[in-house]
Amino acid sequence: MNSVVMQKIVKKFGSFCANDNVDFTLKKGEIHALLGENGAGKTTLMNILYGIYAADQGSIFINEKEVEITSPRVAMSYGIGMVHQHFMLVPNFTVAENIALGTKERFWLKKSLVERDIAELSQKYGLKIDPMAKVANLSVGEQERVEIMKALYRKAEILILDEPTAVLTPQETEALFVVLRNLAENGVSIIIITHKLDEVMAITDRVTVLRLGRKVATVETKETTKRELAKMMVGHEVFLNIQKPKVEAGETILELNNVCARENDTEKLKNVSFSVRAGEIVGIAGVDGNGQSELARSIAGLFEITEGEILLSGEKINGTSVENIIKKGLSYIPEDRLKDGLIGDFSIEDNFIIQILNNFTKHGLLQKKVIKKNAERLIKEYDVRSKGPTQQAKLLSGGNQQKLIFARELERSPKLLLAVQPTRGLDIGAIEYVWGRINEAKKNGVAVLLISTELDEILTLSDRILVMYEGKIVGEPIENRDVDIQKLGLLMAGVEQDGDFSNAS
Amino acid sequence: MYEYIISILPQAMRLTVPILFAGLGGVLASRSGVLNIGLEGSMLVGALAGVIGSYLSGNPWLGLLLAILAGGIIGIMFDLFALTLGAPQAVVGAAINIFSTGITAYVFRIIFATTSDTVSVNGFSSLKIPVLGDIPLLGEIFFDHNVLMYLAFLLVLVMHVYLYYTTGGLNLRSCGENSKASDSVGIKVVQTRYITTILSSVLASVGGVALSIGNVNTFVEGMSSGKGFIALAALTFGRWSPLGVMLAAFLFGLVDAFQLRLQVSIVDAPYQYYQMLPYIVTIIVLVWTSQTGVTGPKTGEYFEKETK
Repeated sequence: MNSVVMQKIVKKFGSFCANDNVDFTLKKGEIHALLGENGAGKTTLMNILYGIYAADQGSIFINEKEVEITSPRVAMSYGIGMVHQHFMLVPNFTVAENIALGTKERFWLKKSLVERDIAELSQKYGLKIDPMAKVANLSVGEQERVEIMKALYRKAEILILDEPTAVLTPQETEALFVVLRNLAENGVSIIIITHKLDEVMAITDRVTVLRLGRKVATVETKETTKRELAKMMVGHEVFLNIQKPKVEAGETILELNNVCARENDTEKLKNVSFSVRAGEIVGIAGVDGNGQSELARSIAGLFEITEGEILLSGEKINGTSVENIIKKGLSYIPEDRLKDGLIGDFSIEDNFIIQILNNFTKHGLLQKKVIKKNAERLIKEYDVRSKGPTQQAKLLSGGNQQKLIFARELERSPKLLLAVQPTRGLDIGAIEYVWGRINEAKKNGVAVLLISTELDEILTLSDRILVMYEGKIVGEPIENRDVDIQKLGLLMAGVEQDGDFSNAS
Repeated sequence: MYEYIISILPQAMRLTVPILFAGLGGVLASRSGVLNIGLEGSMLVGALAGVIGSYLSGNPWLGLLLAILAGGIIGIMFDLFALTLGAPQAVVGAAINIFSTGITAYVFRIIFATTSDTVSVNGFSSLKIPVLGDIPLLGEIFFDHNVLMYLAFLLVLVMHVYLYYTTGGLNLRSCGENSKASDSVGIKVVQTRYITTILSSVLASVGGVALSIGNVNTFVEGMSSGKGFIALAALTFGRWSPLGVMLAAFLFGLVDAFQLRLQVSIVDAPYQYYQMLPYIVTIIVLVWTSQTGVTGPKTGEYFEKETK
């Protein structure tokens, strides 16, 4: 039996066609991946199924009956549940309160009844959750379980998960997969929206690949390979076998000694010490929100540290100005391109010169011609696809915005490249580009500090790997040639190891 | 000293009531995610509407009814501009405050054709509760007031139970915590906020009634004199909860009663100094509460459904 059949779905946003005659079929009890790059139309399709968007054309059948889904509420009444990429939870409420939220059957809030139902579902599907815990105190993996529980509590038989592993450690991902398999065995049909091929291979029964709003194919996972899927996804053969350039590491460029920082009353960085040498890429792995952004912002001079020191080429930079740090040779690729990396409303040419304005002024006036020439050169050299130097930066695609930032930052011949989540939200082509640029910087003798929650990225690029957990660097630096993913995952989850790096000393 | 404090308590209770009503309105609005700084304006409109209703009918209950209607209209105005059209809530609230100052002065002069003479109308008289009202001391403090006072404290209880022990209350509070989450489980965020804002304006308006026909039985231009803002301070100080707001409102009522007493008992200093007291306490309390770093519900955002 088919749980969901979507036929000839068309959805346009203005002149942009997000879904172009897409067909999709979900069988009962299967785990089905919806695979595609950013902007391929996966999320749009699922938002149509969940009633957030209305399709312009096409029809939807649930359990073989044609339905019209006009809102999430209607979707829920057909047994469709969605776990959004950004969790829809109320941090100040308990698990039970979050799960009961929006239900109106009873006037009185009977938490004991909700808790009993949760316990039953826990038992049935092997989903362990403490109903009395406050959501704010739960780990991301636990919050994901609450989201799934929320859908099951609403009697969902069709479960849509949007990029469910984006913020999980390898262990949490594995635990999630166990839960999902369990659910599927109990007759729940599951759709996973993803762009991660490993995930598709590991857990799904079938895959539907979308590209540029069109369906490419639906295949049995058993009968395909990662390479074939990647090819379908991108439209041409891809080789993400980035070779790590061999570079002799030089002198120490960046050095952190016992750096501590706090925000309000919470410690964000605790005794962070490490160094990065010229021609070396140091990767900082860790689950999102463990102090990585504070670390990056401290180095960039945007976050005040309370103790310790940060040295760039042997000179103390903490407590000095951002301007000084840039002059000393820092290039910074911030994690939020549009918020911190660019001025979206400014043109491309103006974005190229914002830190080095003085080089482009004469008697206090901007040298428009020189600025334009500079932009034209960089656009060409760094392959920024645009309508020209005067186009607003916010109108560029994510990948091209990132190219713009890389062009601006690398053009200054930095000593240190600080890259935070440099490929977040980019498609494979752009990822390849960014990784290439980072490796090139390394070849040119730049010290690179790469902070990323994508383990793939860390493993592909780094020479040495450090793990951050709750504001601390945990464990010893790991040489990338003898890395043990299992161990890395444990460190990321904050599980203390025996022996070497206990805190006893 | 002890007797002195005891003697101002009944007065303090009376002065608590208007702030408490407006503060409870603030709880409803802020818990659902709306920053209603128009409470002051609603209060002033309610004070006048109460007097007009009582003046025209001779019955304070009809005054209360008129005030509820007027408060409701102010609430709908707020909703229309802030929740439907998306104007910033703080600006709409400020506009309502300014509007209320003008419209009440205007209407008052038209109806009563006077600017200086005081107009006296029938107000709510004191309603001593049998038995309880005869308890020495406590009777006088708690059980010998007009009906609005009992209503206010009853409302504290009702709201507390509703907010924390019913599914409706849970849904309402979620709108002030994470409106996207509320929306994702089918809670009608804008509709919820429409209702709470109208109720908050109505409650502030009833607070105004407590000021006019629940106390002095007349209307004076600008008679709310910042009590709506003090209610906002009480809201923060009381941690956005009915019980907390009740205690905070009582603190302000107590200070107000104290300064009134000072005005008559120590006449050496200009009375304006004493009048400043409640406002100074407000500032101190606000600074102190903001130091604790506890953040309340997220108010002020404009909620818009994702485009279809």
